[in-house]
Amino acid sequence: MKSSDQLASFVYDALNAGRSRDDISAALEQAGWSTPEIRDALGNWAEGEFSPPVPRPRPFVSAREAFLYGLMFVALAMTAWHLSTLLMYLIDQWIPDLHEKYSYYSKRDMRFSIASLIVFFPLFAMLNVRANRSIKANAGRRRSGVRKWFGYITLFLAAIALLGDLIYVIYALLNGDLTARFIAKAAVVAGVAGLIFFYFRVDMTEDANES
Amino acid sequence: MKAESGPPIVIGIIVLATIAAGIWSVGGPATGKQEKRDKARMSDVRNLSGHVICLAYANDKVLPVALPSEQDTIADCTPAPRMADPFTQAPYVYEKISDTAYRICAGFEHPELIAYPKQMDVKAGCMNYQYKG
Repeated sequence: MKSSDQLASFVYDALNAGRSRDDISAALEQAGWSTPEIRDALGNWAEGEFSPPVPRPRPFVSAREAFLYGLMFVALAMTAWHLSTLLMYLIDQWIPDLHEKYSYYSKRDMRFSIASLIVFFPLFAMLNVRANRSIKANAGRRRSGVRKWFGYITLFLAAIALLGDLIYVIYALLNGDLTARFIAKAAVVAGVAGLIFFYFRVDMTEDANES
Repeated sequence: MKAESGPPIVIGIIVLATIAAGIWSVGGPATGKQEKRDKARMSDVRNLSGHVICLAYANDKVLPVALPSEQDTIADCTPAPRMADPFTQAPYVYEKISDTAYRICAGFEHPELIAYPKQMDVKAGCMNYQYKG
């Protein structure tokens, strides 16, 4: 039996036996459980006199949600990637550099990025609207574990991109490569990753406030 | 729920503007077709340049003044490459500039995009080559 299962069954038994929440917390604290663990374990059961204890709704994982959020995640990732790529090629053209030349290859890559954006951006926008509407209709969806996981994976990747960008800017500065073209490209990465990061952070914070 | 409508609209505007700038920059399908034709012309020009070197080698390392026609080319340098633009039928132009330099001209539609900027004379649509014997 996992220790979290033991904790859950202990809390259930104690509540069932009519012990108060304060008594249970004190007993658990004495046994060495941390405050967040105790709060979570007690939070699994609704407050009230009803016996046996009434479970609160918990996160659930459904295949349909995994499909929806997985697709949305890929659509967002592809949009972010190809938006950055396309902007970088445009910067290459707008800010000429004597070291590199614009060629057929960049044109082909640009066309591929344009095609990807035309497919993935509307898909992301549509799924995002749909997901938000379904949360509004049924607040229980907000507790979906799949949604949280994809949300936090997105936040994680956006944070890594921002940190990597910052490292690269400092490196370029020290290396004497901080040209106008480089600054513009770094700003593109920071802008795209930053927008995603703050959007998802607000979204995830709303969840935390709710629960 | 202010977060739900703000950033997606901003992102939407940015994405649409970037797609528009991208298409404006790379051109539509017609530009793509022109580039493909230019690519075929560039390949012909390179083959012709190899042919010129072959002819010069067979002629005591002296650059030819003009290219022999496809039928009259010397045996060592057969088969002769394509001598005319396959899309417009206009013949490619070979010019001997000096004993060590020559150029080959073609009706490029976008000579500024050819991937050999140092050799390319954009105004005339000619590739300049050096011959070192």
